[in-house]
Amino acid sequence: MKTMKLRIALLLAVVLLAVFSLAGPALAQGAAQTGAPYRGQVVAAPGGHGTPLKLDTATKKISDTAGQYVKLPATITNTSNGPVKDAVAYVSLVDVTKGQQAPVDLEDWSAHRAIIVPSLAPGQSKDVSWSLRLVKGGNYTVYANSIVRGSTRASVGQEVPLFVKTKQNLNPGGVLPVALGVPVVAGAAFFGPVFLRRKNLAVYER
Amino acid sequence: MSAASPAIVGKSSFLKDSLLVATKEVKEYLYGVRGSMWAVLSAIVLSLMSYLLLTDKELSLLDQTEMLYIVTSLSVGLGLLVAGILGGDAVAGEKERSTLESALLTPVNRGSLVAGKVWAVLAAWLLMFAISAPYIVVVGAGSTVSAQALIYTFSLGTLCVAGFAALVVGLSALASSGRSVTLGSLAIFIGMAAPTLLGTALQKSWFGAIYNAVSPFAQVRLSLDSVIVDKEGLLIQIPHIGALIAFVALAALFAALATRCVSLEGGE
Repeated sequence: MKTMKLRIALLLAVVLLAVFSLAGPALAQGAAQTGAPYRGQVVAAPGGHGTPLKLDTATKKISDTAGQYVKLPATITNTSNGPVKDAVAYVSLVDVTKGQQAPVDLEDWSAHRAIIVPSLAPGQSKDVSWSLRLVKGGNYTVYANSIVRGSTRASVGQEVPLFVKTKQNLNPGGVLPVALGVPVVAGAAFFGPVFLRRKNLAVYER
Repeated sequence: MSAASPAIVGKSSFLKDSLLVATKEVKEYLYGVRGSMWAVLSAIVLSLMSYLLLTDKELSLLDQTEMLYIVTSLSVGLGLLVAGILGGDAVAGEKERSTLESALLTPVNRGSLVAGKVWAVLAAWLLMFAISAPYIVVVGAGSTVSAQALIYTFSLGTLCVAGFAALVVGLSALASSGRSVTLGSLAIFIGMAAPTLLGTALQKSWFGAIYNAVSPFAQVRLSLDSVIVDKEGLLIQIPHIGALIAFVALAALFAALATRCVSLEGGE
């Protein structure tokens, strides 16, 4: 009996560990959203020779709801007299919501943050675009950057205001019938026949 | 024609026998409290998770697709958990209860017997998916990826659970104690699922890359993330699906080899 209890406790511990290993990241992510914002964006060093690239972005304010995708188009132009190879263009995002001003880690916002431009002839332009998934509500500023090998100052595009409308996915009315109904229906469907079968067997045994 | 006929008869008989064993096993699951208890417990876990996601103010700030991804991952995870528990007991449990002897005396060959056990575990996953479907629908209500979430959870989950079921039933055929196989399969499951707790930096390191390449559950999660959160198409999912098919093939081969070792040794 004692061994059986020990086995049940061990099995329960393993099941709980498994469930929390799956549910843990979700809870951690929820907590992280209310925690201190990420800090530590690297700023390009001033001085030296700058990137021979010009970045142009439309400065029109972008607005949408959290969860939606928006596009940030930009044009990269080689302003030098020589060709440019392997230019890296990327986006930066800064939260400018009052009291929460900080650079934002773009990991969840964009699956492809960097765009590599293999070569640009003198005066040549190339259109690029980033797709951003709006993760969290607030006021932001987004801008494009680009660097090339050997440059010490990044080329920075115009700041684009970005407003993300908060969307709370509160849906207690919709989830409650399912959250209560499915276990009840499953319990009745599975345990009902077992209960009836045992009851019938008990009648026969008498 | 005459040479092909016995092969066809043999093939259909293998399938027929294995389905017969599977039907018997499924009935045992349904009529026993032990078998059906997992379905109800899984429903309760999914209920708690869905209710928490959709009613907690902090968690409700998560994007709907993130919530959908969590619920779909959880349903596949629970499917693996149930497969580990049921599959671990499949052959070794029968040895312990001394019921394998009578099963081996029936005109069903060992291959059909083991295959039938794998089908039965797969049937438990189908039940698990049927239980998960209402939660996926309610969490994904109004989003554009609700249908994709259902389709990919079903197909990826079926591949992952099929491979895991074959692996665990194969282990069960080799072992003499059902409990040790069950605990072993749970350890394998935790080994597959626990690295999801790794931080982003570690997941991008060589360790994370190896883990993602080796773990079938990681392949499922990466693919679900890609489909549901990043809204990427089928073409992007081909490497993940290919890896899962390879896992199923390897696990099936292992189970086929383990079938040869099904014996009456062990137990009490």
